[in-house]
Amino acid sequence: MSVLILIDPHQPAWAGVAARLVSAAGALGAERVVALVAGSGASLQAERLAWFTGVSEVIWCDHLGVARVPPEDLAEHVAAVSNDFDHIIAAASTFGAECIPRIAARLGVSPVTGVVSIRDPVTLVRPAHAGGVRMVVRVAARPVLLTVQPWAFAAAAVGSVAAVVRQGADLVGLGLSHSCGFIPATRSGQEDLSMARVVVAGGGGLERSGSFAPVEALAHALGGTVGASRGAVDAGLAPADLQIGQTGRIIAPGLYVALGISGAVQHLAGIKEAGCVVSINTDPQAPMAAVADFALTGDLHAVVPEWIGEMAVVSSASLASGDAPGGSG
Amino acid sequence: MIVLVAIKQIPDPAVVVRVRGDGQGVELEEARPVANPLDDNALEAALQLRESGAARTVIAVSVGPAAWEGTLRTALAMGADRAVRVDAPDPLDPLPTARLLAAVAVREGASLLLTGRQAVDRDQGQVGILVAGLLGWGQAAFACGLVVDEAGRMRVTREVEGGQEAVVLPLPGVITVDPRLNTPRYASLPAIMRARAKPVERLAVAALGVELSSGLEWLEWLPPTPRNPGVRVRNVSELVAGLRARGLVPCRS
Ligand SMILES: Cc1cc2nc3c(=O)[nH]c(=O)nc-3n(C[C@H](O)[C@H](O)[C@H](O)COP(=O)(O)OP(=O)(O)OC[C@H]3O[C@@H](n4cnc5c(N)ncnc54)[C@H](O)[C@@H]3O)c2cc1C
Repeated sequence: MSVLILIDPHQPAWAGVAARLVSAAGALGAERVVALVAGSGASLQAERLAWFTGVSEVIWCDHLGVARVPPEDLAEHVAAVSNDFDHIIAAASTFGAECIPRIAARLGVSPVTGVVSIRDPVTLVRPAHAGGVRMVVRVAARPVLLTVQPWAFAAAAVGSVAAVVRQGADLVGLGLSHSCGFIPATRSGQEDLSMARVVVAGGGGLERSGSFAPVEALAHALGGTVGASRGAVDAGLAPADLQIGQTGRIIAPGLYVALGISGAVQHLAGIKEAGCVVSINTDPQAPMAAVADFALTGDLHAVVPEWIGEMAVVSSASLASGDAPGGSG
Repeated sequence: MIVLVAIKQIPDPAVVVRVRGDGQGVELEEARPVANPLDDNALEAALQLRESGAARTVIAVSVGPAAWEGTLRTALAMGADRAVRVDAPDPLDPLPTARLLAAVAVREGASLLLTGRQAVDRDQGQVGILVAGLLGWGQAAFACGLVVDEAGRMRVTREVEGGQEAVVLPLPGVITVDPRLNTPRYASLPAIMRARAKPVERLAVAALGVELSSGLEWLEWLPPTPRNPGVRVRNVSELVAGLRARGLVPCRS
């Protein structure tokens, strides 16, 4: 069984995502895992990919003069080498969503998107209806093309032996579309939402004060990643790439804190697999309070400073008693 | 330019789904049918292209049974010039759906296909990109901004991880839209009345020469992972104590 994994070199957390794709390939029963990364700088990323345990080979491809590779060009390239593989997988990210179906169309096979569990190499489980159901599908054609949710798979370890790295053929520019600029979201440098262990998210409850600062402060105190509901994104308080939910990111942190988020079904779709959910909301009837493991009725602007204060007491007490600083669950 | 807008009719997404007793589907009888909200954003974008003079004709197209005609009539009421329904079963997997849409695009001489980035019932997010791949057209997915430049190319702003990417898409092409692209207009009551009398053109699958098999077999439907019931805490101390008991109070490192 051979599996090709496609790496998005522009995804800020590309290495962490890749580590999870490698273990998803393992869950598919791969004996040979080939990673492919394309674009300028791909050779450096390839060198890093080679160290993941389970990777047999890494191929990097140049695309002359193009940093952000158009999905059409990548898809054409992958379709041409697809004969060698039983499965072709990518993350359920914007990259996976624009590449995997295109490759599938070129090959005339049906892709499966958003996979969260693998029963056997051709039987896959994926959520639908805003996470309200999971659908089990069996795929007849080869290769099987799928996107997987990174959080649903453990990260492959970094080993002590590097896989073979080689340069593949340059991608051919079809000229069907081209990238002409990138505006980074203001909040970068944090752990990727799809893999974060602690997420603190803010919603429409912050609109009146017009500042996302309480969310950032609590995330900082908890060692977590900042997220948002669409309410906060629409209010201009957070960039769209932080949106959690059906049309945003699907996440599965050990701890999820919702500050001023009502808990609309489209938002809850993104946190179905979260471990412990905390809701801070002035409205005791908010749907978020009903799904939360801990629901506190109150104004987030008062609760957050108090919480941070309490944590400072806890951490200095535990330091005084000699406990090692613990991480999150 | 002729713009095709692919519209899927779905059960009202506000109604919470439940797995059917036999595990072979979902219970949604009480949910009223609506257009996939993201396809309304696609239609709005197409209507704005026509209003700006960039597009000549906007054709709303659905691949589904006769019961979907109401949704297409709403598209007519919103301003689509024509509505076409490919008479196909519901549900139909993304690949055959895309094959039928690609065939309609060719038949109508369309140079742009607009549709939602995903239908919010099955959340597969494949159809637009599949059509682009089948036709060998360029694509721009997750559009949150769209303008036409002097050369008649689409300049698309895309929502991606880490920020926004600007893409130039010459036509023919496919654009899948994010809900942030625009706010869909409402159909006025007189327009709804007029749309009742307008035809919804019907195409047979056979006339398009498309094979309906997808190679996918949906084996069963499962409920989501169950959640344990939570507790209401009265104050921050109780909250922190509760989290601590679960080993979830991280210390500042
Ligand atoms: C097709 C479609 C897709 C969608 N996709 C998504 C998605 O991916 N993600 C998403 O999040 N949404 C999505 N939505 C939108 C969703 O339906 C909700 O509108 C949105 O989640 C609301 O965000 P919110 O709860 O933060 O804001 P609001 O609805 O404005 O709720 C604010 C909450 O904050 C509380 N509050 C107010 N002030 C305070 C305070 N001082 N302290 C504490 N609490 C306070 C209020 O009681 C309320 O519960 C989608 C909608 C559609 C139609």
